[in-house]
Amino acid sequence: MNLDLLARFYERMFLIRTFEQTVEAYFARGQMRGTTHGSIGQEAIAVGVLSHVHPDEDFVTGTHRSHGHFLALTGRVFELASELMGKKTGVIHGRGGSQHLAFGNFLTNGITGGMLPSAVGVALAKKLKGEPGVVISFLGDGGMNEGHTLEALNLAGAFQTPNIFVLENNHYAMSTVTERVTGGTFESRVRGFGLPYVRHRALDVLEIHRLFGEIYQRVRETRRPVFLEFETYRLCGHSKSDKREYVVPELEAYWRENDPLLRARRALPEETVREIEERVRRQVAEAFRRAEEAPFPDPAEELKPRP
Amino acid sequence: MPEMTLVQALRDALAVEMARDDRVVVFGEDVGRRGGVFTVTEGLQERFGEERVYDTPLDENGILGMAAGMALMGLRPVAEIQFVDFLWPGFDVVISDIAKERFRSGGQYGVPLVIRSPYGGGVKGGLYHSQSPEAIFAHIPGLKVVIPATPSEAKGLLISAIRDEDPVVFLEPKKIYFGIKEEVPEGEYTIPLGQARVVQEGSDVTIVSYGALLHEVLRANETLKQEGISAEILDLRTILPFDGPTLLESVAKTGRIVIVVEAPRILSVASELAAFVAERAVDYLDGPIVRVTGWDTPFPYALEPHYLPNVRRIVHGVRRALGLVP
Repeated sequence: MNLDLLARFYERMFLIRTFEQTVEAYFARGQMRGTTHGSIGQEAIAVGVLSHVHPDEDFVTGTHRSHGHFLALTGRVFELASELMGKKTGVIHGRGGSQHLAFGNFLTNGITGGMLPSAVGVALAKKLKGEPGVVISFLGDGGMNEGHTLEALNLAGAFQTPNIFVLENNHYAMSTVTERVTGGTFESRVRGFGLPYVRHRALDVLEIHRLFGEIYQRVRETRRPVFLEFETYRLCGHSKSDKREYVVPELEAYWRENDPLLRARRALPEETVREIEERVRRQVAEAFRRAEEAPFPDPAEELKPRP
Repeated sequence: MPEMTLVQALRDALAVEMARDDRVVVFGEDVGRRGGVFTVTEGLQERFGEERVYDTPLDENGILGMAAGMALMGLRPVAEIQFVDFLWPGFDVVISDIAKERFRSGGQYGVPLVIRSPYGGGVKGGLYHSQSPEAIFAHIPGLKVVIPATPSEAKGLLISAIRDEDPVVFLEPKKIYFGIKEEVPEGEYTIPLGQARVVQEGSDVTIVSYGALLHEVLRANETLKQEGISAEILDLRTILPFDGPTLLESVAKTGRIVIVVEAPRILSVASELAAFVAERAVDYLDGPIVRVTGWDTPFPYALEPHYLPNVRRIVHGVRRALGLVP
């Protein structure tokens, strides 16, 4: 086992979790308002997958649940905390909040599966321009039942674009167990559009990193789409108002016991873990403190009538 | 200058821009091999290749999504929606992505793309091939909306729309696709967005319209002239951002205004222009602001001639604005 790599990944996973827990605490105290969608329990996917990205060449699209993707990609805690607080120093100057991030070649929106038609367009543009790089798009199991997701899979299959679809199947579409509202299987749908399909239970960040590395290299070379489904689990509510009364007890028990973050933690020397956690806690606390002090956007600058 | 129909002028605009700028790509349902239902893209695939002019599946969501993604990557997509009535399955992409990209990237980038689509009545298209939804697009912050009324305008405005840094919904009045011919400037010809055209100067009343109805207004003007009424006729051309100064200047001169659109009346472009004039120029007004519009029903097939504003209704509207009839 590559302990150095694992330590690096653990630090990012712990950063995401600490960020999400801090956000939960801010909401609980009424210091943040609106809504937010956490990814506690799913961090290993964001970290393992995005460890491969070439930020200048590849394009990444997220979802409404993308704090983890953003942090795995950029590590910019202050900008994200600022955005959630609606501050001018936010990722997009406080215009979007939690669900709407845009940074370099990373873009999300708040519509489930909503980024996918655009993601195929980005990949098609790469193909037409002969540019290198791939488009990595996260989506959730809820988004798999949206028409635009299926339309995007058809386009990727029809036009053979360099897209990698990364389904984070956490089993719940908000409060609905996705299986109960899904006809057939995701696998048969994806294969039906002519896309290769790979499934993996996302327990081990190093294993995710290795698996995604293979797929990533393959798509970079073949310029053809691949669909990857990760089985995962959300150990927090869908959004901050969610009391999680719908959870399936067996699933909950399994994933509590097999939390990928704790799994990575157990494999590392205690001293390493302590150093990482102290460093990350300081980093997050400092970023949130600075974000609190940052100014709000100026209405006179932002809101103008037209014509 | 060659004489062209609106369709020929649009085709010419696309060809000029595609030849000038290899970032311009054209796609949609049946636009490639067939050259489009109305032949606007005829010959473009042969000339510019299948990579730059291509057929898509029947998938408006996908067409508009691809356009958004390609524009993010620095291309200049011109996406065709075969009839604007078909756009709604892809409306989410328009409202959630295309319109918001510049705002939600914190101003970092926009999506320079054009959505071209035939719209409007007058061709016996019935319920799903006749609608005028320009106000729906204009209501969404982040979109520009353009409607040409002549072949020259079609060319000049389309080229400007393609060169614009932000998304433009370009609605083509299909009723006059083939029926009107005029001389159209050759080569790179542009008309700035956001500028109305004063079609005819006048002193008694301002009549504002756009698209196919502008020609109905011009026909109505023949009757008005016989009655000794001098109308100033404005062709709006850009629905949003509309040309407020030209509108106000004209109202200040005539003191009367009639707004003619074919869309349903409630919350139409006519409503917005009326509110604009009422807010900014009420002191100049000598009579009621009059709207001549379609009806607040879905678009009717058999009753199309009654639904669309015609010479009789426009003339009646002008008489009301002048206080000649109640």
